[in-house]
Amino acid sequence: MTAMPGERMLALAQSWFAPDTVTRIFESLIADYQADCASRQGIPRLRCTLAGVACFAVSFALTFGRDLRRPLPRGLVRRAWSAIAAFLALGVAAQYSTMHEQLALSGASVTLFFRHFWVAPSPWRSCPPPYLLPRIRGGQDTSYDKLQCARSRFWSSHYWR
Amino acid sequence: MSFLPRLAGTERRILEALGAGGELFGLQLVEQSGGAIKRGTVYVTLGRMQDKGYLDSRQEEPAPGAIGLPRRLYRISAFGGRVLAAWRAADTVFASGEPQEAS
Repeated sequence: MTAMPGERMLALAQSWFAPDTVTRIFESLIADYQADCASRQGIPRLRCTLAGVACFAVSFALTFGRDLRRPLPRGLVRRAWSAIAAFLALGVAAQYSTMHEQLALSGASVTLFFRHFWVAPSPWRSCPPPYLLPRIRGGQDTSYDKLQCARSRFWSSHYWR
Repeated sequence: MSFLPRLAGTERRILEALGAGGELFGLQLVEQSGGAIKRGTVYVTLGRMQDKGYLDSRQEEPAPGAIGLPRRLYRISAFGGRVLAAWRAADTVFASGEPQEAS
C-alpha cells in the first residue's frame, strides 16, 4: 500500500497543534498539496513536493509561536538555559581577561574588581575604584562625579563590611 | 475611535480575489494573484481571516474513488464583504486629492 504524500506532515502537525488549527490550516494546505502533486510524475512531481514541504515549513513556523498544543519539551528548555549561561560565562571571562590585562589586577585587586564592576549596585558602578584614581587623575579623566563617588565609597565601605 | 476593522495588504488581496471569483481553493488564490500572495503564508492568513469573520469555508465534496484529504473552498463572508466595501470607500475618499483645510 502506498502512502499518500503529505501524511507525515499531517501527523507532525497533529502532534504539535490543536485539532482546530490542524483543520483550518494544515489539512487545507496538505489537501491542496496532494491534489497538486498527485497527477505529476518525475521532475515536476519532485518540484511540487519540494514546494509543498517548503510551504508546510513556513506555515509551521508561523503557527508555532501562536498555537502550540503542548508546552515545549523540558529538555529543550534546560538546553536553552544552559546555552544562555555558557554564553554569559564566556562574556564574563572575556571581559575579565581584557580588564585584567589593562588594569594589571592580581591577588586582592581581583576582589575589588568584582566588587566595583560586578557585585556593587548599579549607581556605584560608574565610580572608579580607589586604586584607579591616581591613574585616572594622571590621565585627566574627569568624567565621573567626585561627590557622588565619594558618597558611594562611603556607603560601600559600610555596605561590604 | 475608529470602527473600521483592520485589513492587511494580503488580506485585502484575498478578499478582492474572492469577491471577484466566488469560491476558491488556497492554491488557486496563489496562482490567480500572480505572486502577490505567497504559498507559504496563504493558509495561515486564510485561517486568521476566518477567525476574524472575513471568510467562510467548506470542504469540497469528495469525488467517488478519490483518495487524499478533501480540499477546502473559501468564500467571502457577509462581514468580509462589508469590510472590503468600507476599505474601497475609504480609498475613494482619500484618493480624491489633497487634504482640505477646515474653514
